Amino acid sequence: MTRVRPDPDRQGKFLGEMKAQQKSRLYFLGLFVLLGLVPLVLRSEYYLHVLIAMFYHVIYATTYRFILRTGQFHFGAHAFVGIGAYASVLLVMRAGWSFWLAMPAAGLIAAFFAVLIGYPTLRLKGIYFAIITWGFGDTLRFIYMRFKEPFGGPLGIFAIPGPNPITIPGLITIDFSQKTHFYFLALALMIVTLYILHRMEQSRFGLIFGAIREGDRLARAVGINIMNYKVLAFAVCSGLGAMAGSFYAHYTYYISPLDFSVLLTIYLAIYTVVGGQERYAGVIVGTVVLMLAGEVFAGYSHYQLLMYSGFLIVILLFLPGGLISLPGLLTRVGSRAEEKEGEKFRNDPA
Amino acid sequence: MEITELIQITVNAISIGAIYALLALGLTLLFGIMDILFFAHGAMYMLGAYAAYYLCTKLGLNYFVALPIGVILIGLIGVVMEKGLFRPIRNDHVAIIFLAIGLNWFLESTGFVVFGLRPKPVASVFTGQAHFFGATISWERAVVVLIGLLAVLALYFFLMKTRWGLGMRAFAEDPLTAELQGISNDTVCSLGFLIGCGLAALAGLLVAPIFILTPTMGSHAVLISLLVIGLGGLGSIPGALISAFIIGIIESFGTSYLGADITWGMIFIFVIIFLIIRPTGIMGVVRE
Repeated sequence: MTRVRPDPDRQGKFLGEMKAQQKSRLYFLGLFVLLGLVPLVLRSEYYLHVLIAMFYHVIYATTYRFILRTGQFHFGAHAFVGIGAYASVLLVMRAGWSFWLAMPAAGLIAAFFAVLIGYPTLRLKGIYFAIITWGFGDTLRFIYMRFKEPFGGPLGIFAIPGPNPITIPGLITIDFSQKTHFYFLALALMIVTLYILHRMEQSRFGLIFGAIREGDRLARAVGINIMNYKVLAFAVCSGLGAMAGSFYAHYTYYISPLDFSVLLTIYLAIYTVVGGQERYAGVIVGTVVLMLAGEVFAGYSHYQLLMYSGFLIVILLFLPGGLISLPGLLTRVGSRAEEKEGEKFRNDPA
Repeated sequence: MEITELIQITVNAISIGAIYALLALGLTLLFGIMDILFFAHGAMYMLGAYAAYYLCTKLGLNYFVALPIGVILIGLIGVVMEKGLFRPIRNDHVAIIFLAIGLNWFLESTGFVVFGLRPKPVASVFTGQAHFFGATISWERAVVVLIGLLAVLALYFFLMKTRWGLGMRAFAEDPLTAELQGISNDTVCSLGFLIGCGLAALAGLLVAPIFILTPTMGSHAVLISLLVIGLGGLGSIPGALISAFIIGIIESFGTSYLGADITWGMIFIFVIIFLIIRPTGIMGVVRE
């Protein structure tokens, strides 16, 4: 964050980036509109289900990537998704809350746990954080398994009610009896999450998180309270992931401790790396591509995991930027000679 | 009666602790020397256990012939992995962790495909029990304890007393300076993977007659070893030994007085709270 003399080349690049951003914003808007129109044409329950599953996995994966981008090796995404699911189910079934109240409350509860775990542990870099978050996730799983009351024990909780119906007088009633209703709810949740995280990444926060990741001592030296920012990111992301977990519980009507094992986090890590963690859209691409490819092996989870982890290894070795860097790489091959000439003068840290 | 019970529980604690120490040893070596959190350690352990199954049960080899064959074979697999997969991205720490994660679950799911879903038994080599001071321990567990402790001691002396060990420690301090002194980084890394994977395989081969083999045994073992080396202080061999026995004692006493499932929850919570209060582990290892 040093002040540099205006450099015409850089300014041009900056403006170009702005334009590219506006363009990609338009693309995203178009994509969302298209997705909103899908249920009008697509009547098959199966395809809708695939899309819905994709939506909440995109939420899990983008929140996971955001924590990764603050330089923390998170290994307990399953813990917070699980908290969200169990909290909202218990609030609805035991306390009699409405789903629309329970979902944000589940998010808040997960965020609270994230602060509780995050404050002492986020100052630890790397592996310690991974051990603690993994251990936390497995401790929670153990608690769900062990206590039949109120967590349902190893069998989980059955017959979870769907979201409460909404009636707009004179227009329509959305009672969540059809997949289409869930589809729109999942789409809305995903768009809101993507928007919040996008805003966070593009604003001052994004710069600060970049600074923390690249060199947290330097960031501290220029006056950034890195703990607060890390805890904030951790809490927001865990809360959003937990809300998606709450949606998952009320969508599938059934949760068990097995749903929130470490494999969930492994999948998210694979989506993130395969898609490319440098760019915001990368993790979305990774999730969509892998989940579509995974449908081939639907029901054979070992083959699915085999394919995913094989993908991960290949990408790490041959395409470190992930799938998202592929188009740029292909177009750049032609103009590589030109680039080499320019590289001598430019010294981009990126 | 009281005393006998206490001795019995302590003996159990030692036998559990030795298994955990053996499990964590390879992981802590790779972390201490190369700063790699080698998740695929669990897969190597699983492969070792299955090597015992295929060599002993299927081919009918003697257990003590199968032991070195399995260890060397899997150690060599480790070297191949290091040369082919890890060397190109050695300087990228994040990528290395992801690569190790990918490898672990890749091998685990391959295990499901190749070895099948049905749990495999391996026949016991040592039957009968030993008695002392009124406590009983089965001979096969006693052998695991013995070989486990020998392995810890051998590794410790290798690192501290030999030229190769000195080279590895120099590499751990500063790879570039070590290279300037004529210590080849490539050799150190290959050697580290050979020993690390060999130790994982040794653990797998040794526990194969005691435990039931399933392909998921590796991931579970990684979590346990992570707790052990986290509690002990990452990369510290004495720390891993001490914390393995602490966890062994908690598990043994907890299982006797409280029940097995509650004990594991307690161990998780204990390690997490300990690490939150003292994040550098028992031995106070500081790492950036």
